[in-house]
Amino acid sequence: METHLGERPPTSPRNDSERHWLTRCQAGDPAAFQPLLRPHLAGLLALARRHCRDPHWAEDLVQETLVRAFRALPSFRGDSALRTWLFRILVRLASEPQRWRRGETGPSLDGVDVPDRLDAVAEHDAMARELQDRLDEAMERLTSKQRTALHLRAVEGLDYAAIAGVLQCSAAAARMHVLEARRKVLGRVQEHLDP
Amino acid sequence: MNRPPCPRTDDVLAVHLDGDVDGTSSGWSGLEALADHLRDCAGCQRELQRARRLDAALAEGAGRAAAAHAAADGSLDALLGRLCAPERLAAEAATVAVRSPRRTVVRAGLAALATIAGLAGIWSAAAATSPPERNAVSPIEVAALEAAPVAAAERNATSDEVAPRAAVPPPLQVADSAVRARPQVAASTAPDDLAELERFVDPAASLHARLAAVQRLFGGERPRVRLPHEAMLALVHELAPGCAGPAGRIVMAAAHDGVRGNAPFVQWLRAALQRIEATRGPVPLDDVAALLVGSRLGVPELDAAVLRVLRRHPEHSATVAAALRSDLRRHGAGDLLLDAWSDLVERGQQQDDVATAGLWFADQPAAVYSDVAAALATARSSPRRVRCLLALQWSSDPAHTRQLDQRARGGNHTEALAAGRERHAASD
Repeated sequence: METHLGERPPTSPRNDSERHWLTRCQAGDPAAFQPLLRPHLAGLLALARRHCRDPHWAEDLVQETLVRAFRALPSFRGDSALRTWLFRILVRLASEPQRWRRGETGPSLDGVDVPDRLDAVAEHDAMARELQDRLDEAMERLTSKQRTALHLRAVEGLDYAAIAGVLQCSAAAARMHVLEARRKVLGRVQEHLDP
Repeated sequence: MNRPPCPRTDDVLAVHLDGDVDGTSSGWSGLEALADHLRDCAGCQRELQRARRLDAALAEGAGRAAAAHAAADGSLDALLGRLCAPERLAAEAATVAVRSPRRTVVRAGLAALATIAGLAGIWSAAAATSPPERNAVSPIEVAALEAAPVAAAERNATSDEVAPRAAVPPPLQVADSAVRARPQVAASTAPDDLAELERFVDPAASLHARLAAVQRLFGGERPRVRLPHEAMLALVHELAPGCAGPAGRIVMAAAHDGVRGNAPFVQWLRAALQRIEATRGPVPLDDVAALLVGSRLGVPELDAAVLRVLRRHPEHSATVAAALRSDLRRHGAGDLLLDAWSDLVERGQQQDDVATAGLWFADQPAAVYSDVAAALATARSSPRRVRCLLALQWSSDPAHTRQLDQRARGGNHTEALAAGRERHAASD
């Protein structure tokens, strides 16, 4: 049997809980929607932030995803994991970049005091921030599919098959997106990653 | 593009980092051979280490971002409650009637063709003339905001105007004389700021005095001035109507620029918009004024809030469209209108047709149509392109007319209809 990192084993307690809330939701109980979605909200927010740097637009994207999911839930058959299905809705919505990526500006350094010397902890924090900024910038330069694929792999731990489910492509294409994205991002940040 | 140091690096990463052990990797047989290669290949070892650090850094950054987002609401549960309260979702679900844009536009196009054919028999002379002049709308402001947030306008529709334009409701404008019933500003706090505010809102004050008051309130020297609630309210009521005449426009443009950079004011507006979002039934007048001003500032967080308000209160579509007719927003007005329209079409509350386009786009300033033309050039989804084309029907810019003509002769049937193929069919 194939093991997919992105699909949860059918007997896990979390899966049982999810099935319980899903059944209630599909039976028409709107109060079951929040507990059903609760475990996936942070993941949705994180993926939305990859598509919209502005947090308010990210929140808007997540809200729209939740509304679409709520509507489509009665027809959700469980062919894929709920999390994968939610990601797919979000990625489809985000495919109109004008909608979710406008009004963005880079972080402003106006009014930020930059000390001449940093202590060890501050220096470490500053380097970590620098790495995150470079990472964000490198991720921005990827295509939408590459960005999504690498995020789903590195952050969510989805396997190629699950990523393919989100991106609506073959597993081989998903593999290519992940590897290509990683290569591009590494090319831009590798000096910050080397010890 | 960066090439991997070894032709097997991709396979090494796919197997060791991504757990791709089910044989999908091409040209690689067996995990043992992979392990042997990795032991001997310094390039693959280095890439694997870097890639592991990269994945860890990405995960850490994403976790921080999501946690910071949730922290703004207090907790993830609070955020979840705000984003998908059960009664709200139930209300959303009740409006599910997703329409096919293609079908709607085709239906509108066929109706237009039928109307044109009928009219051609009656007005043969009119049929021989040029297509209807775009943007022939000339609204007259009739109502004050004390009674309603926006005023309905009479439209100078000529008798020989062909459908579907004839079916378009008149565009709404914010009355210049609206919102004069300002709340009294409490004089007990921040007397200097309140005095400036009084000067700004004083209709009898000179242009120079009002401009100077705006500068002192929101100019560079005091970018963080925080007014009390009553003063914020008074300011919103002053800004809400927009402007009357060129002089009024100068003052209002300066005031909008000023408040745009004032974080406490933006946060105050955001709170007002969130209040509207949570409101059932009629929206209080104070909050309608906040919606008018919030629509004009072009601040991303306010735009997102405005869209959420419209999803909950689609009856205020005309309020937002009217707010943007004042031409006080610097950029992004067209995008906001397109987004709002898309949301309501998705919820089955509006349609993709010329009449609905008129509700949003009739009589808008030129910058709005420029936004729409730019959106048309880059939109990836067909429904969005269709909306752009329908919106551009309301522009009088010859460049947009040419753009429509090109699309009307294009291969995509739905988009050609939206661009006005029926006009061409009639005039050819």
